[in-house]
This record gives sequence, C-alpha cells and structure tokens, in this order.
Amino acid sequence: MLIKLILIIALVALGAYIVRRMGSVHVMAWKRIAFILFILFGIVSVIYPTIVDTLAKDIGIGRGADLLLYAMVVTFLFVTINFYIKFRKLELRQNKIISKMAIVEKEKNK
Amino acid sequence: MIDDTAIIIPAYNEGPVIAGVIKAVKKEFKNVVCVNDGSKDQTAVFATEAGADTLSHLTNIGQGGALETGIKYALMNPDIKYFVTFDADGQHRLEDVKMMLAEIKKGEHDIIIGSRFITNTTKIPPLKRQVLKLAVLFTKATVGLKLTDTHNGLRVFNRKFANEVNLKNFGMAHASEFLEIIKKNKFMYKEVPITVEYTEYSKSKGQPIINAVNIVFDLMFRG
Repeated sequence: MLIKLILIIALVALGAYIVRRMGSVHVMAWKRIAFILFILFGIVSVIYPTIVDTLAKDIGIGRGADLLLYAMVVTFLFVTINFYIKFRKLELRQNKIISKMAIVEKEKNK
Repeated sequence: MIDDTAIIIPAYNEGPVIAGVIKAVKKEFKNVVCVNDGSKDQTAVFATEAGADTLSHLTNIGQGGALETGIKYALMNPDIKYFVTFDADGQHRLEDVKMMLAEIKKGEHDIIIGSRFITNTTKIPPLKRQVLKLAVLFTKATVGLKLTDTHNGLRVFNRKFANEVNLKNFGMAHASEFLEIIKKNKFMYKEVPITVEYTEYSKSKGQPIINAVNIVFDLMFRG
C-alpha cells in the first residue's frame, strides 16, 4: 500500500533529522535510544497494524488506537517538560550575557 | 556622606519617580548604582541626571537580573564594604537603611534583612499579607530558615556575602535565592523591623499577588 510507504519514509526522515539535530546539543544517549525505539515501533506498526491491537490487548487496553493515544500523551508531556527545561537554560544563559554586557558597556564609557 | 556603601536600585519603567528617589539617596550616599532593566521609558536618563551610576540592560530580564548586575558592578569598587538592595519606587525609607547599616557594622552578621512583620508599622493590603505569610511558610519548608518576611526587597549585606551572589532566577524568585545563599554558606543573618510605605504609585507598580504562583513554579523547575 502506498500509504505505508509514505508513512515509513516520513518516519525515517524525521528520525534521521532529529537524531542529527540532537547531536549539536548535549542530549543523553538514552534519550536517543528511546527515540530510535519509538521510530522503529512506528515503522513496525505501519507495516503490521495488527501488532498494535495485539499489544494493546496484552496490556489490558481495548484498542490499538487507544494505546497510541496514551503513548502520545506521555510522549507529549515528556517533550514539553524537556523543552521547558531547555528553554530555562537558554534564558539563563541569555540573561547572564545581558547582565555582563551592561557592566562591560559601563566600563567602556568611563 | 557615606562612601563605603553601595545602594543598588533595580529599575524598570520607573520614569515618574526614579529621579526623586535617587536624589534623596544621593544626599547621604556617595555610591548609588541604578540598573535600568530594559525600561521602555526615560528611566536611565532620569537616573543618570539625578546622579546615579547607571547601567542598562539591552532588554528586560527581571529584577533578579538587575540586582545581579548591580552587585557585580559594585563589587568592582574595592572601597565598597556594604551593599544595599533598595526599591526604585520609593517604598523603602532611608532611616531604615541607616539603622540596618549600623546593625551590620557591629560585625556580627553578614546580612541584615528588613521585615514588615516584626512590628506592624506597614499597612499591607489583607490579601497580600496572607500571601506573604504563605511565602514565609513555604520558605520555611523548602529552605528551612526562620524568618518573618521572606520577600522583602530591603537588604544590607557585606562583601563576603556579595561575593557569593550568583542569582539564577532573574525574575521574582530571586528573593528565595538570597535565602539559599545564607543557608548554603552558613552566613549569619538577622531580621530587623522596617516600614514599607505603599504609595498609590508603588501599589500600581508592585507585582500582582497572582505572581506568587509563578514564583513557586520557577523555584520548582529550575534549569
């Protein structure tokens, strides 16, 4: 089916892109592993959609779609918190620079 | 003229009052450092004209950031022995500052903190009073220091203390950070009763009570 091909290409491209971008910052290795597993799971479930259903039944959730929804909520929270922490770090760095600059400028104009 | 003390005044959009506040301080203190925190008005110009040593942030980074800049700058002057954090909106009284300076000069404490709750000379709006009381309990639980007023902007500290100041919370959560510095370095501290004069102006400028939520949040999720 064409849709499977499209979804797999999209997932692989997204995975490659994000893992490469992650390389520029200090991201712990387990985060990358979790991400690769996530992508692999995506690919597998695209090829064999029934796997998600089976898995959902095994862990006591009615439908595969529900399992996907729960997984997405958890992932979304994880990503949000990650971004929040990263954002705070950037903000702190920026503020330190602005504070330092004010002093440097003052000294220069003395 | 007191020349061993730096009065550090963070200012954000204080155009209407900054000149008056600085002129009053300037009458008795030689070193007045005003940190203009990216104001959109003429705060920096007025502060300089009034005689303050004025530094300016490129953009607004918060009161904690302005204090950080002012303290670091004042530390560069080796003549400064004592540092005072003072509000720009005119709600702190110079007589309280002088009383606190006399206290720290006894040499028994590293920091003297003003408190609105030791004597009830300050008229605080009832809701604000309750929130501040909660802040005291919160600080007791998280930092473990016994204080009656944890969010008072008027502080006097020595060089030893100033050297340890490295604020991470550039917003309003910096008040708790000052207390953590005390705790971490086992500094000697003392609270003294002061009076905060809430004018119509300072009330309109002051942080809304709801900001307490942001402060707690900032403290919980530090980068």
